[in-house]
Amino acid sequence: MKKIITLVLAIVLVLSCTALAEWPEKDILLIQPWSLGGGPDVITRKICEYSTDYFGHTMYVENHNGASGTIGMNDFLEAEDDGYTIFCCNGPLFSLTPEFIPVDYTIDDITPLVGIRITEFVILTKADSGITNLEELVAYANEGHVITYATTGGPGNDSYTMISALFAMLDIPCEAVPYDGGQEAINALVGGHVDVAAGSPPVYREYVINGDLNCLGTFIPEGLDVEGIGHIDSFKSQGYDIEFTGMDYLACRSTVDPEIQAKLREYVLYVYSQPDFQEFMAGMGMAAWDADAETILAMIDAQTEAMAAYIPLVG
Amino acid sequence: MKIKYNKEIISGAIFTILGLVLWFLIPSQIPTRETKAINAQTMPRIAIGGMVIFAFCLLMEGLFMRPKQELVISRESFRSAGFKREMKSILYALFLVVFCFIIKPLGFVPSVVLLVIAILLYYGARKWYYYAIPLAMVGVVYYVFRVILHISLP
Amino acid sequence: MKEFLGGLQILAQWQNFLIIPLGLIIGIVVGAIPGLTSDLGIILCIPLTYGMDPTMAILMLLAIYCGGTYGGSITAILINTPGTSANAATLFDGYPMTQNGKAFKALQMALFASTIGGLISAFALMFLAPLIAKVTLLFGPAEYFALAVFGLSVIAGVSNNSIFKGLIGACIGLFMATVGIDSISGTTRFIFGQKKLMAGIDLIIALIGLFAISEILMKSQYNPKTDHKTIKASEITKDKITREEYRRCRKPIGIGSLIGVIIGATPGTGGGLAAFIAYNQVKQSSKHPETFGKGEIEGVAVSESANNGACGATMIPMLTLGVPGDGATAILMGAFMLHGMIPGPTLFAEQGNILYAIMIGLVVVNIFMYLVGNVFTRFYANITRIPYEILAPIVLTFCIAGSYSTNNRLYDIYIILIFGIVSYFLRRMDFQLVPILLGIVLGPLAEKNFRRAMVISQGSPSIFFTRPIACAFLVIAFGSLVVFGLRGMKAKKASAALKPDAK
Repeated sequence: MKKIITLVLAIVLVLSCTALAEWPEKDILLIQPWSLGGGPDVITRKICEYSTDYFGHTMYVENHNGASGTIGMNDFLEAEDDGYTIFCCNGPLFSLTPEFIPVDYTIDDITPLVGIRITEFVILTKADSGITNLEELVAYANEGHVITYATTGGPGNDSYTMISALFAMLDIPCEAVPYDGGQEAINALVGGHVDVAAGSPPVYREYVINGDLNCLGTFIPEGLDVEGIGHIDSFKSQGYDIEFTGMDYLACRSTVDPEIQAKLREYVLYVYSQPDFQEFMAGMGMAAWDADAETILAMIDAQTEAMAAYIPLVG
Repeated sequence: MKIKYNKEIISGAIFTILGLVLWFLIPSQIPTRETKAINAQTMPRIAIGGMVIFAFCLLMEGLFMRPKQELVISRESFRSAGFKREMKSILYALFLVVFCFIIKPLGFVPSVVLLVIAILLYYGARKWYYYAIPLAMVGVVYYVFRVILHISLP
Repeated sequence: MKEFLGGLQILAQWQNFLIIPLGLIIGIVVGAIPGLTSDLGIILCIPLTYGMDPTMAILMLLAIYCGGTYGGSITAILINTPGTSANAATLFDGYPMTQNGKAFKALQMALFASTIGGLISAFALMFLAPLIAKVTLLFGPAEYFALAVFGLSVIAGVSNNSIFKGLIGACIGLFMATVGIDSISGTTRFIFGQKKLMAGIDLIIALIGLFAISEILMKSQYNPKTDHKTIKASEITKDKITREEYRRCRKPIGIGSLIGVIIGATPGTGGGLAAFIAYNQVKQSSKHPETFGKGEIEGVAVSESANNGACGATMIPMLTLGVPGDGATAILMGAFMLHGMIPGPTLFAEQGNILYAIMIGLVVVNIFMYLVGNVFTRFYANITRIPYEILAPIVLTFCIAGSYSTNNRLYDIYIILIFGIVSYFLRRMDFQLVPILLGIVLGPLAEKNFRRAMVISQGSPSIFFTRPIACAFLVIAFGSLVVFGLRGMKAKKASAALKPDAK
């Protein structure tokens, strides 16, 4: 009897191993919670480009956008945990969004596979305003001006929260003007409709290089080196205790077989090693971010803690 | 029973009531933390308020300025051709409502096939190829979307 | 000039002249199926372009975009269902022409007007892009709000018999547009506890419900035995556009193309709005406004020239500022980035040759569109011969599949069916559907920018009157309402004066 059981177990084990060895057996769906044509969408589509050669099956992107990414997140968590559905995730979905929208997911539902990119928010003013750092901005506001600042979204959006928290710390009269996306916010600034805007690469770079816009600083704690601009000081180094590092990463459900997780991660790292992918990312003004699950989870934890301090300032 | 009516009275009355209901739902449906005079509730208030005002105007126009039709409700009226025609349209709309309920449990192909057959029966199609062509199209659509375009239909 | 010649050189590869017709065919077919739009066509073909060089890839996607915008007019004309939101204005006169047995004529005029509009737009892109981009930057929230109000003033012109019904329709549309998460404050609006509704109601979903489903329901009283007319294929294509009609349409096409370019170049608007505004202008300035809406060929000409006139122009803010002019250009922008071109101020300096190749290519696309379209027109005109009991389930199948594929949400199927039943009721009550569509399209534009403007001005409405462009739009909007009101009164008096004679 025992022999038979052992035999059956062995067969099952072998079968499951071969099944895994052949994974994937069908196409892989990447759920993209952000809209078509945006930064994360374009990058994930580029990542999917290499899949047919690598897996023999296609990895394809579906946009399930809306409600600050929670629509996509819910659809993703409803899918089977067989690894054939992965998700383009970010930090604020856990650290910020739940404060504004009722959600029923937690960080334990997902496992990060690999990072995609780091986004750094920079605060900008128009060059002809003559304001080049926070002190000058405060001085300008104290002359009796109400500062209007363009954000890339409304409350619940990361840039909105960060820039509003910063202004609350500066304690100056100000009003947020929410726009849809980074490019719109920058254009509102270039067109002279607002005093300050938040930007992330690649949208602001050319304007700063051409001398149309000034950088006041960045939320990245160690500051930022941008090609053609040089070093951008962090707000931390200017004496304000505020920091934020935006990140996008790929994730799967936490119950997915670890071996499949490893295969997915391996694939993405393979894509990152391709010269033409690196060239593509450089063209977008950024680099692929190959962080592992632990790094990403640690960053989300830190971010959630920090946000807990910023949100009351904004509220 | 005798009813005098026209399209303006019916639609005006419906939208006045609908608008009023929505108006009173605004505070519960749009919770806002904003303190400004112009906030998330402003636009819905303009739209719904406008709906109520214009619908009321339409109702008045229908009551006093437009010619009315007379409808005598009796046993006869339920057998009239006009009534039958209306019932037919309602039946057609009912197909769509039923479809909403079956698409989730049955999936795309079976539910759409049922809908297609229902419509063809409704129109009284007799020839076999009248059924074959639309049903083949369902198959083609499914194949094109699912296999070629990678869009997973429900 | 050097870049222009460089562009010509890149363009002059034989592969490009194969890929353009292919893209056009995909675009026309996708655009002509209700529920599928050129947006979807572009998304689905992006993976096909991975292996191509950038010029070829972008040209293919542009061909889909232009072909789709034209293709949407085919169903608008033939089965009273616009293929894309840009073609909604074509309904006014296109479908009545079909009812009068002039389907082929309408299709031909739509193609001709689309081509001319597209060509003018392509030239505007080539020569005026940097200039127009500068003007676009001047557009702040106050200007966008005024533009939206101007667009809404069109409602007066399109709600034929009852101004109240038009206004109620607009309010319904404005209300629908507020459902979901409010992007300015982050709060939810009218979702009735349904999480799926947080994403709001997509424009294309509303469009399918409003027009396609309600049209199918409108035909529920159709009787195949008595109502079906068999028309011979030869008869459909016999009726060609006369020289006199071409001459008459010169002005409408000119106005349409011009308005198409201006509106198209303004981010966040697109071809649909351009077509409505242009249609309204031509109708107002026409010597015989009463023929509009009843199968006036000028009406088809102006709306189709305007929406294709917007096609090239929507690329202007996208290429120069990195702001997409409408939904399709947002996707195209993604495609540009995938091929290593980052739209924005430096694109012209860095990739001038490729850009010029694409811009000259757009001219070629429009010329090819006329040729390819001509073949399709003959084929499509025969759709009118298909018995309705077969056509209805096929259209419905496409609508269901198409609406699901837009956002991969089952919810959207429910929405199109509910919208369809509601708008069927409205149509039976003699409501026009276009004001609802205008409300849905312009509501978000008006609301967001009104609120932004009020924040910037710190709550003072004077911002709308002290800024010249904003003020001008508001004055024109108000003026056109007054003109329309006066005309309406005059027409009423005239008809009142006529009545005794008729007796």
